[in-house]
Amino acid sequence: MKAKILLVPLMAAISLALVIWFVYPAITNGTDGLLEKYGQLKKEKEKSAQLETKSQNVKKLSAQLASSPEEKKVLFQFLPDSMKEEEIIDNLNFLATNSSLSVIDLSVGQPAEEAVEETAAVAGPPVAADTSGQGLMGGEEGFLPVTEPAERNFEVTFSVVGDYEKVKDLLGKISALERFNGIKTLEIRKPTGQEGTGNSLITDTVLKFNFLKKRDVLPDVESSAFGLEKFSMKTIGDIKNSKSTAILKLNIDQAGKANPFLP
Amino acid sequence: MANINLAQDNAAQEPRLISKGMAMVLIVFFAIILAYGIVLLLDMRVKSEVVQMKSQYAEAYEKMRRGEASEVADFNNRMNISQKILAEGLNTSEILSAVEKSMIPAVYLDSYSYDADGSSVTLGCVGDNYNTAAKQILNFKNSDFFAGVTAGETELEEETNKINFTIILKLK
Repeated sequence: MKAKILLVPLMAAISLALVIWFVYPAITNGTDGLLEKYGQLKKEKEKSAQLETKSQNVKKLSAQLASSPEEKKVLFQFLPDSMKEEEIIDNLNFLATNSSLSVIDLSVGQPAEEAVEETAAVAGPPVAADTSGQGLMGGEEGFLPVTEPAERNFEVTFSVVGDYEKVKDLLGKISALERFNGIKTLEIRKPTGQEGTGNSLITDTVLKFNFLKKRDVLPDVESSAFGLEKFSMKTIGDIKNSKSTAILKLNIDQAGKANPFLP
Repeated sequence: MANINLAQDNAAQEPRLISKGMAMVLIVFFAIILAYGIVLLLDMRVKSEVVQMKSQYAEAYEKMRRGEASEVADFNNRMNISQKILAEGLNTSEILSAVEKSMIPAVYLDSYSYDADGSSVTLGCVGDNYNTAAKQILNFKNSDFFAGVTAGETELEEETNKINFTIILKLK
C-alpha cells in the first residue's frame, strides 16, 4: 500500500526528468536540436534557391555576352588576356614615327609576380558535400575564401628624340591608346654632347601596361557577377569615349628562312 | 431512537487496479515517451533532408561553375578592374600644359621629370638671375593645378652667367 502511494510521485518525477534530460534537449539545445536542424534546413533551402537564381542569371548574362561581341572586343583590347608585347612595340613605334620622332629605346619588361586579390568575409565554395550528417550546424566549415584573379603589370621603357610639340603630341596619343597604359616616369631633357643638338629633346618614359589572364580556376558562386541580371556596359562606354587611338593589328607578311643568320 | 445505517455501499465495488492519480501520471509518462519518439524521428528526417539538400547544392554548384559561369565571372572581373584603372593616373599632357602656362619668359626648362609614384614633377630651370628664379617659383605657387611647390638647389653657372635652379611640383 505504501509503495502504491509512492508510485505516483515517483512516476511524475521520472516523467519530469525525461522531459528535462531527453525531450527538451532533443527539441532544442542551441547546437543540434530539432529546431536548430530545421533552421539549418531552411538555410540550405534558401541557399539552393539563391543558387538557382544565380544559375538563371548566368544564363542571361551569357546570352548578353554572346550578343555583344563589339563590347567584348573593346574590353579585351583595353585589358587583354596576355602581355601582347609585340602589339605594344608595334604601336609605340608607329605612334612615334607618326609624330616624326626617332625611337632610341623600346624595351618590354617582365610582369610582376601574379597576385591574387582576396575578398574577405565572403563565403567560398564548399570543398566537398557534407554527406555524413556530422557538423551540419557548423555554418561555413569546408568553405574557402573567395579569390578573384588580379591584373598583372609590367613596364615598357620607351625613349624618343624630337621636338617638344611632337613629344607632347605623342604622349597625348599614347594616353588615348585603346589599350590601358599609364606613365610611371617621364623625363624630358636637353641632349648633352653627342646626343643631339638644336631643339631636339630626349624623352625617356617608363610606361605601365597590364593584362589579366583568363581565369584558369573555376569561379566562386559568391562572385558578384552572378548577382547581376544584366551587365552594365558603362565602363565599356567610358573606354570608348576616352580612348581614341586605335590599336594597330600586326600582320606577318611572310615567314621561313633557310639560314636565320643571313641578313 | 436514532436510525443508524451501518451498511457499506463501497464494499460491493471491486478494488481499482490503479488509482486516478496513477492513471494520469501514466498517461503523461507515455505521452512524453511518444513525444520523444516523434522528436527523434523528425530529427532523423530533417537531418537526412539537410544532407540531401547539401548534396544537391554541391552538385548544382559544380554544374554551374563548370558551365558558362567562368566566362561571365571573367568578363565581370575584367570590367571591374578596367573601371578601376580607367580612372587611374593623370594625363601627362595636362601636366605639361599646366607647366607651360606657369612659365615666365625669362626662364626656360633644362629638364622635366615626372614621377607617378611620388606624384611630383621636378623641373630643372634656367633663369637670367635670382630675381627671375624667385618670380618663377612664385608663379608656380600661384597656379591652382599644383598642390605644393618646393624650391630646390640653385646655382650660378659662371660660363653662361645663368642661374640653374630646381623646382619640385607636388601634384594634386
